[in-house]
Amino acid sequence: MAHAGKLMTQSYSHDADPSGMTPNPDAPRRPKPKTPPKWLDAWSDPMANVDATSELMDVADLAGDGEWRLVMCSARERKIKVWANARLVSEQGLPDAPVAMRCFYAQTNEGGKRKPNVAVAAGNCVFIFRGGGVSAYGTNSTLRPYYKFTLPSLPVEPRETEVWRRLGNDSLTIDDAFNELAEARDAGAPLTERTLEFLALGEEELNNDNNKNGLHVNARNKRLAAFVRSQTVAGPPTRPTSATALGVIKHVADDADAVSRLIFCTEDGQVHVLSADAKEVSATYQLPSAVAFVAVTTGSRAEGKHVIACACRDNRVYNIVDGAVDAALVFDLEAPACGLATVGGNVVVIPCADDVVHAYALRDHAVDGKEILAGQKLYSLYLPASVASVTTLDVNRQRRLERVAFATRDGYVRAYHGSKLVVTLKTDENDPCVGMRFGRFGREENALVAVAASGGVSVRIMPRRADLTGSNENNRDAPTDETSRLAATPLAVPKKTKLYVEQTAREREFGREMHVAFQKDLCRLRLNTARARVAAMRDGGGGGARGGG
Amino acid sequence: RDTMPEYYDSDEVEDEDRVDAEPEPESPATPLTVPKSTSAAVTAKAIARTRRNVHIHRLYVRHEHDACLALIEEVLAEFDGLCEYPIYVKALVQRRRGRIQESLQLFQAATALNPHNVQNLKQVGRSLYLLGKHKAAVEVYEEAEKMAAEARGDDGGHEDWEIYHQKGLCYARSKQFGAAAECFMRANAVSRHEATYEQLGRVYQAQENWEAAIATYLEALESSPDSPDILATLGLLYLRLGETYRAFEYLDQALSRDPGNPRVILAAGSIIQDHDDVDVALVKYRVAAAKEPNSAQLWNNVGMCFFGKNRFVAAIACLKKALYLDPFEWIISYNLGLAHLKTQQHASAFHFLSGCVKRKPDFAAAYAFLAVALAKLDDVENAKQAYARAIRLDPGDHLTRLNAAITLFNAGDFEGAKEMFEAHDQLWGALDEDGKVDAGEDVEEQRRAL
Repeated sequence: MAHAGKLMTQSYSHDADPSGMTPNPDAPRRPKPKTPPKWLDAWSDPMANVDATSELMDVADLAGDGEWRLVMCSARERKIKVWANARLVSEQGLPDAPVAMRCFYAQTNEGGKRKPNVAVAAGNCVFIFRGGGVSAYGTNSTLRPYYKFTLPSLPVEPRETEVWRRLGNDSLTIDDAFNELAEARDAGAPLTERTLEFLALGEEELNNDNNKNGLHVNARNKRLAAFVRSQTVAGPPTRPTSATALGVIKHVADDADAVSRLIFCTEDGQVHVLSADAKEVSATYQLPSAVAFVAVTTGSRAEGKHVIACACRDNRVYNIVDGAVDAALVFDLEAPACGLATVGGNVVVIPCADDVVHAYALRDHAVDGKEILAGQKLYSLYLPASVASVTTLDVNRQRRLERVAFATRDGYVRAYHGSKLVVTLKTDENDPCVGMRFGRFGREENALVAVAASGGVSVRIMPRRADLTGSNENNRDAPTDETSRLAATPLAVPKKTKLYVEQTAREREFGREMHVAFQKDLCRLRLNTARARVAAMRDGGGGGARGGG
Repeated sequence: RDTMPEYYDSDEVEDEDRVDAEPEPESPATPLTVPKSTSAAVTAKAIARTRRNVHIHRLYVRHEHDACLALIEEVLAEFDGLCEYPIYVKALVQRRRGRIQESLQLFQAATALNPHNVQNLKQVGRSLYLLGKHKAAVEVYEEAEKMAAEARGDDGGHEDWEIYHQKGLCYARSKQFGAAAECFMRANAVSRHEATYEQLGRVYQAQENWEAAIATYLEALESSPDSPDILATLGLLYLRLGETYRAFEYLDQALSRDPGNPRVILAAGSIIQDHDDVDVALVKYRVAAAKEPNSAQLWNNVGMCFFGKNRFVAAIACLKKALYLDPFEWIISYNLGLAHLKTQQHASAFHFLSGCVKRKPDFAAAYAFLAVALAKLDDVENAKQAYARAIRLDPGDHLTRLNAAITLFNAGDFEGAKEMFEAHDQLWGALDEDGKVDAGEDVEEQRRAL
């Protein structure tokens, strides 16, 4: 607290000193206790009602006027919204529920300052918007749809196409078609939706009633025929795929508005990299499973070497290095990843659903003189609550620093430098941040935009004096504080009443008699029990446990 | 590629044909009315199954299970339950909620829809394991292994550590520890994980192969040096083996990582108590008491802290609470007996000590103190028997013989007393300073009396 120092000097000059101790002016001053500097709350809108996660948020200089705007997609409402200066300036609908959104700078031949494009992945398309800045009349304009990019469909098995063609021509019976397609499925060929539905329909009927074969087969075939008719109208079967994640590669320079390339990942495990002018796919990689999160290292290397890290649904993180999926650089996770972030060009940080964060090295590099090999696990963080969102803090100061921050469900946002806790920010306990993005906002650098679970948006600015090196000993984590608080509460020793104390006195006096009496009664009890048992055995005629019921 | 289709303008967005799939027509009547943008709608419908997988996945990993299930139900309702991934996630959520049978059925449904997905098989195996059907689970895992090997092809690729890990778990549960250890080692060879090390260590502990267990945990620490669980387990293991110094090292590290873990606090506290640093132990126990107030062991230890500080009433209060929480724990009864002896409540002492010997008939000290209680209650015969029993169980305990000698002496049996005393003297001579300090005065008294 900045005021603490002032208070001290005030009491120092105060005449009536109640404690009776006047501080000696010549004595060395005690250093002021260091409390972590507070983050500035720039603005917050609790009623914004935005359903966005980190994948659907980004900040960009849309108008090119140096005033960075916040772009967010609200998944529930299927809208894309732009905020500038604490105001919602534009809002427009999307054709489909958005899955991911990124701002990127395509290489264009237009002169002047580059403006970013906003890419939204929804369904099997990626829609690219432009604009969103200030129009010629000085009003804020909406984002103009610029381009729609359909994800390339996957190849269809030729046998399937054949079957459907013949079905369309009526040169194949339903049963034969069914058998052929079932064969294809059992052989392990990937089939189109249409075929899967066809097979499922046919099998459902079969499984339902094995008795009434005749009648049901007819009904089933009729249903299948209707289905076929409805499908063949549309032409040959296709296998489109839907998008799952978007990423951006900045491969030449590190600046925030450097030319970058878009990556998108699909449900079938493909990763497409767009060319620099965002018009066509320049590279495609195939991964064994659908990609859930993607992150790219932002080291600026002249050769353009970067690593694309993809967290997939089979609990693995695959890495694409130098244009190929690196088979050796695969990280197995014990629990599914709930986010992905890259830090410092060499490290990938993976928060998992079991409240543990693992960090792995993506490249050979040296830290403090120690050599670290690619693929080595660097550290694990054990968080006290589950992770709601993660983001890389790309802090712009005299030097650029990169840290990782996690928002956990206990209402804290924690930033780490390596495995050291650097910053703790308290948000609402019941309303954890489900989306975070760090960057410029407005004209401020180093702002953290957070979307809470309730839909509220807040922007906080990191204080200049925030210590990001983790050397401040006062930076203790919340659970440690809690523990020390608990340690201060005394033990709840059960109380003894006065009656008890009196009884103990009595026992001390009459211990012997009490003991003797007790033993006598115990023996008597045992004797009576045995007698009753014998009687029961005799009378009941051997029934042991009768009457228990 | 496409030029902008008409439906981009914001006005028309709401009217654009939603990508809801129309349900299949029941009767072979008219074909579906085809919407104007044919290909787009069909495409959209084709991916409609998988379109929401992303959202389902995100909700699941964020632990928002209710929202996740709601979305899954929506998707399944649209498609009559014929979508693989939503069923898969639904089964995962049900399993988390404890409905394992249901989850097993769902996983089997997912497998039926897509028999080539190794993940489905793995999950079926895991559900079987959770249901206790270990053999069946192992079979499923072997099938999954084969399938994964096929899928990988000949270039090797990346093996699946989880299959080995799970197989190991099944073997461990069905007590085939050798096979289990093997599986875990294979899993670790593919990819090291804390969980695997922990299970491997547990297997070794079950086999009482302590060295191997310790070696395993030390190795685990190399790859995950910050894990509070491994540090705690290692500390407890050292404690069990009696190496308290090292145990304390690890327990301390575990506490610094995770200050609220009651198990670790208890262990660390007990070590501190053994070193007579009772106040520090008490402070540590406070945290544990707040976190886990119903732990019998905790209250037992707290009671003994008070005992060490000679606050016997408080000690008895805590010990009684511990006894209430766990009436079958012999240590608590023993401690209560001791405490009552100190407060000269011999009848209660007898009561608790006899309870203790009932549960643990081979604990010599309990008999010895039982004898003392009986002696104070003037029941010499039984006292003598109790002493005899104690001496038989632990012939090296000099204190017992001393007490026996005193009792016999008081009862007038001088011969017996002398015998006892001589035996005591022998043992006494073989002792070093600590014991002498304890019983110093009584020895003098006895010597004088004789």
